[in-house]
Amino acid sequence: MKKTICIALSLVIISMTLTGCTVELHERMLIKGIGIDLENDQYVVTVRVAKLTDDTESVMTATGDTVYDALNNLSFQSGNQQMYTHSHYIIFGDSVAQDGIDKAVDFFIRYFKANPVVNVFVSNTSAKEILNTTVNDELVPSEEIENLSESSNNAGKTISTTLLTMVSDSLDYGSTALVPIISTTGESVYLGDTAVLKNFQVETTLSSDETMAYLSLISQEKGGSLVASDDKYGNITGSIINTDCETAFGDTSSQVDVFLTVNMSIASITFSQSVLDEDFDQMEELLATVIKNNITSTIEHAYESGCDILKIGYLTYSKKTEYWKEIEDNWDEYMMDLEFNVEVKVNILRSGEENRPTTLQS
Amino acid sequence: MPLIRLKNNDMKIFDNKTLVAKILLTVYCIFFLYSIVWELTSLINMLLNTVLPYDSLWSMVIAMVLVAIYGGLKGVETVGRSGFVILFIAVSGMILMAIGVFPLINDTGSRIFFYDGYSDTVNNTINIFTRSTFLPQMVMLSSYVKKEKMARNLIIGQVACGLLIAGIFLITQLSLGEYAKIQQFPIYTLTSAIVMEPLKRMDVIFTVIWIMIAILKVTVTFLAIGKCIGETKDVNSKKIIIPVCGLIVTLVTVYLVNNEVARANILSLNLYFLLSIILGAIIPTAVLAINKPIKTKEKKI
Repeated sequence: MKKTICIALSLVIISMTLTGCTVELHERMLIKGIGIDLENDQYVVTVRVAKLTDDTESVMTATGDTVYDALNNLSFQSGNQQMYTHSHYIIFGDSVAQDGIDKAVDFFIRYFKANPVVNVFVSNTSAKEILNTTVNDELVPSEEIENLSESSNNAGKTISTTLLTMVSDSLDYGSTALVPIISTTGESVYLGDTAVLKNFQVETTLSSDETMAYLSLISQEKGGSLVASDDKYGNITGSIINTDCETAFGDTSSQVDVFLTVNMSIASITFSQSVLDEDFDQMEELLATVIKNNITSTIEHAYESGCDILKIGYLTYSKKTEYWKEIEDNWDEYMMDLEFNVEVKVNILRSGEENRPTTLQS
Repeated sequence: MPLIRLKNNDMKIFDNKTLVAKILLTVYCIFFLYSIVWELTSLINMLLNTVLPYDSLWSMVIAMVLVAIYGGLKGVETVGRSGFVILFIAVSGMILMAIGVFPLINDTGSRIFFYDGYSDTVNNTINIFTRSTFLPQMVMLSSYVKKEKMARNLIIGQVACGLLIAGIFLITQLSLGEYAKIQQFPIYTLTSAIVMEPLKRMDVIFTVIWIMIAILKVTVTFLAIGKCIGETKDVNSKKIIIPVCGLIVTLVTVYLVNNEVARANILSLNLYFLLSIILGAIIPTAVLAINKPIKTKEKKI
């Protein structure tokens, strides 16, 4: 009997704890995206808030001395409790990027409900402007903005970066992190170039072709396209299937050998003859030259700007540890003297369904 | 200790008739209280900084201590069976966590051993040892363990536990890289960073598993306290002494959680490690080497 009473009481108490959220959904401010700007030494926070009634979003803006202060001040416009766990992205406006993202990002690292793998973007205008972009008088949905980060998997000319990657890379050897730049035309939002951060500040930007070269160098490139032109073969458009890059020191510690293997398929050609096996060898060489030039110029651009995009600092630390201990404090100076020897090998794995180019048939 | 036990299977470590044994058992009891306070303070501190920042400290500590006291008084069989279930949940949870963060694993998160001398490696080894070993508790509880293959099982248990924790640390470092360095609770951050879709945002579930493990450790330590008391007093007296111990650890835990300076001074990893070695290995070895084995009539499970 005593046991039965205990079980019954336990069931009642447990069932009372299973009644749902302590704060109802309509009492929460469901934040789907956050934009941060800096105006007159004040942080301006713009958030996208989900409307539960019609599945749309609204924009709210608040100002404060710090990011958290500004976010907290959003409460003046709504009695609801802010909820950041469903935030899809954080956009740092151009003013924040120039001033230093580290000052704005601390809250998102420290906050106990923050999502470390939330997508981050840098804007070439104010974040407020990006988040206020409308199409047919409706805000561009947050899901679409988040999906832009997926374009790196499809087009291979933009990168995708999370808060975790940005902070970890910035604090690691070389202190360099890459973040996609988000832009607006006023009627649409799109990803353009890539911002290269050094110590959390934008040091330079990479164009879409340079971003493709960077992705190849970190063996993450897929889906990117490039065109090689030649008098004999016309325009050859290659589509990258995947890349594999190895980086190693050459004869000296300032010589770095970069070996890149690119597996491609032929997307289109304007050759006016039937393509023979030996023609593929020539095409591979032509495509390899284009890639090599692109990669060489990208590396030169980044390292002249003092950005260690290839993590040669980490390579030195792990492969030449004693040498690294000597130069660690002056790495930025040593980095300028690095000489890169780039070798590219292209393998055309698939030539498509067509035997004879359309140009020949016509 | 396991190796000595291998030769002297059916014996108690201490001869309870002597004054020295009574003093030693009291020392063990004090260490166990210290161990419980350590475990609870670490757990509550983590909960207050992560998933439950606005919840009542008192209610959390009291609830956990009550559960642990209940388990400790229930006896070894209940705790053993609960332990098996929790072990299964914990190991499954760790595996799921490792799968969930697998896409984040990057070899640039790896670091060179002894880069800044030996101190980091030594400190981390001590950290893993103190978090995973239960040697002083095992001195009291080993008489519950089946004598067949006891030494082997003890060693396997300790090594498996150490490897599991080392494995979690490794995955955390390779997944979070330098981000882990700036986090106060990197393993909790790891659970928040899970990227595999079905396992995303299940950090609360993993926290519950963590709480279960901590409560089990506290319960087992209460069980060891009960065993200490059983060696010197009658069995019924532990029904009074263990709740009193619970009250003491509750008060000390609340004080330490609220007082960061005292926490840093009292909960020293090196001190805990040193005491673990002295009470878990040196004293039992010395006592067993000097004393003649005493046959026990403990129930084996």
